[in-house]
Amino acid sequence: MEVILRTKDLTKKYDNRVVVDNLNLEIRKGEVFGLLGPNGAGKSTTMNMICDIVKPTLGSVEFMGKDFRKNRKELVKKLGYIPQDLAIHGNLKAWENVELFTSLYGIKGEELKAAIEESLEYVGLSERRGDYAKSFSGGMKRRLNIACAIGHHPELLIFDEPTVGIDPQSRNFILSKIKESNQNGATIIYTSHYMEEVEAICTRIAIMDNGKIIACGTSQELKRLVTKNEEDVSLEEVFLTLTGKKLRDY
Amino acid sequence: MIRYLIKNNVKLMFRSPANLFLYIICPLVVLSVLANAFSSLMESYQKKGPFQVGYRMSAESFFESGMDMLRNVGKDADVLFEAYQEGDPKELMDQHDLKGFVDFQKDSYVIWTREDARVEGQTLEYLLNAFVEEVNRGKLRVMSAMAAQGAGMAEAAQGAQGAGMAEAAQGAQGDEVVLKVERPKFMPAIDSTDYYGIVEVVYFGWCALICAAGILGNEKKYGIRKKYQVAGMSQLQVYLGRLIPMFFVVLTCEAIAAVISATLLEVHWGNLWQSAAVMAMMVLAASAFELMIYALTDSMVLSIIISFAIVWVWGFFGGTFETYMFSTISRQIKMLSPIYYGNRALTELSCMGHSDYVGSSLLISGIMTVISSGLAVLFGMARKRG
Repeated sequence: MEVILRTKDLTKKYDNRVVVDNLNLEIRKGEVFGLLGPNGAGKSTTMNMICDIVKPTLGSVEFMGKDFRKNRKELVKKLGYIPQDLAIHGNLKAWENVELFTSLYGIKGEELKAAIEESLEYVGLSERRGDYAKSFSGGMKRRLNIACAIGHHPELLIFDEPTVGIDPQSRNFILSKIKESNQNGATIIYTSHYMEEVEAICTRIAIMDNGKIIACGTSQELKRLVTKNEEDVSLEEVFLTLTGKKLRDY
Repeated sequence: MIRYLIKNNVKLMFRSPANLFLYIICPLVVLSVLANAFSSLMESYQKKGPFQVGYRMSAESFFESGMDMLRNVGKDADVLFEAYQEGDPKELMDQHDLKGFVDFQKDSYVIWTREDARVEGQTLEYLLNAFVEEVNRGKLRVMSAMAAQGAGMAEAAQGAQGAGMAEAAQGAQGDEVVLKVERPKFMPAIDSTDYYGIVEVVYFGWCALICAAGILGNEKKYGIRKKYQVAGMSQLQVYLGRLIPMFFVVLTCEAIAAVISATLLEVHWGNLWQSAAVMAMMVLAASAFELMIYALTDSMVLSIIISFAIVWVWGFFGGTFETYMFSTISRQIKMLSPIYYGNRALTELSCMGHSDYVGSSLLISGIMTVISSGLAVLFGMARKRG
């Protein structure tokens, strides 16, 4: 299977603290890749380095066969990032938020108008397009957050905990849309602390701790690391077995 | 790419009631309070009605041919000239209750003034300086012609341009005469409404950072900056996406405040285009300077504290809270404040119609904008690398 994103010895140090340690990851085209890890494991830093928000201390990120940092202008349009934070402006209407963030990728004019409608339709907010984002519920804001990142039709979508703090209906809707995006050809990187979500939508899962990948494979493969009968354990038990039960106070 | 960012940031800024309050309502309230509080103080600097001054004309004085015109101009400015060919100026002033005396020599003049008529003396000095300046600008012949028809100084000054001093002097006398022009030591009196009407609008323009505070706070708090980075926006694009809306919104609000102050509170802004240029450049400089502070600190609270403290000190020395014309602060210290140049230019434009400070105000604002913008982008790049 074609590799769409590869990290080579990706390392990030803050002073003497190693946050990400020689990370070598391969994300295959068309898969939904789950990245799990306790707080402070290095997931967000890894995501930030993949998106070139944070500069690696060492190593590189290869996206679609090219060095991402060196070919940023060309490659950035193929990347969509949905941050954990609700990165929207409350005092802008729904369509204005989508317009603002989609236009950052160089889309304008009629193409932009079409992208706005398509994105809002995709997340079920067409009827509320003219309402201010500040009047939305938590789930609607999450959906708008997604709409703001998909208007430029990225080939790789990075979701950083997109279902935090929302009701089951909204979570179900978002997960179904992620699956739909994947079925339409997008590759997904998905991080979450909700194990059942990850198990439900991810084709491959990596568990990260102390800046390193400590296990990687399908849900079944991970379960087989701790028991012979995969039916006996949940992904959460696997996670706790591999990362330990000690509290992570970072 | 940044067109939509600018457009939406402008919408966000206009949708903030705090911005409309700060840049439209606040200047009007503060100017009303200060104008009333200081009206009696500033009235003491204004002359009371017409007053008489004496003059003596030396033989072959260049001024002789223009004396009729000067009398007419003086009459419009409530300065009545009375000729005295003999006698000591000081004695003549005492004997005839003259508020000043002018001894016109061949190509220069000497002014006597009285301690108990300081404002009248300054008015006389200003009148003569302005007259000589107009002559030097080559408007003598026009003024002479118009003066014969009884036109005033301001009207005459709007006449044809182009003739130099030498040409004008030749037209009048056939000789080349060069007059020494001294800068007036004072400005003509300005009332408190005009003064505070202008300087308070300027001052609030220097508090431009508040206009972008909501957006900058959101960008940081909700990770919007990350989205800009992911989309590959350069630091310059992000900076311009903030600076241009800030400039546009603050200037628009200030313009509204200025229009309201002119129509409802009778503040006179004088030369409209030059005043607008000075205001626009100051708002641009203020926006750039305060965005630079924000880029340096990356903290809105800290940026507001630092920039407002700096602006308050600049305002204190630059004439925001008391009149710079009559303050006891030394001119050298005042000139360290960028606000001083704008205040001075705008106030002079209001009461004189022109100001030598327009150029320096525009230049200082321009330099501040360029340096602050460069530093803001550099700080942003350094932070990203870190």
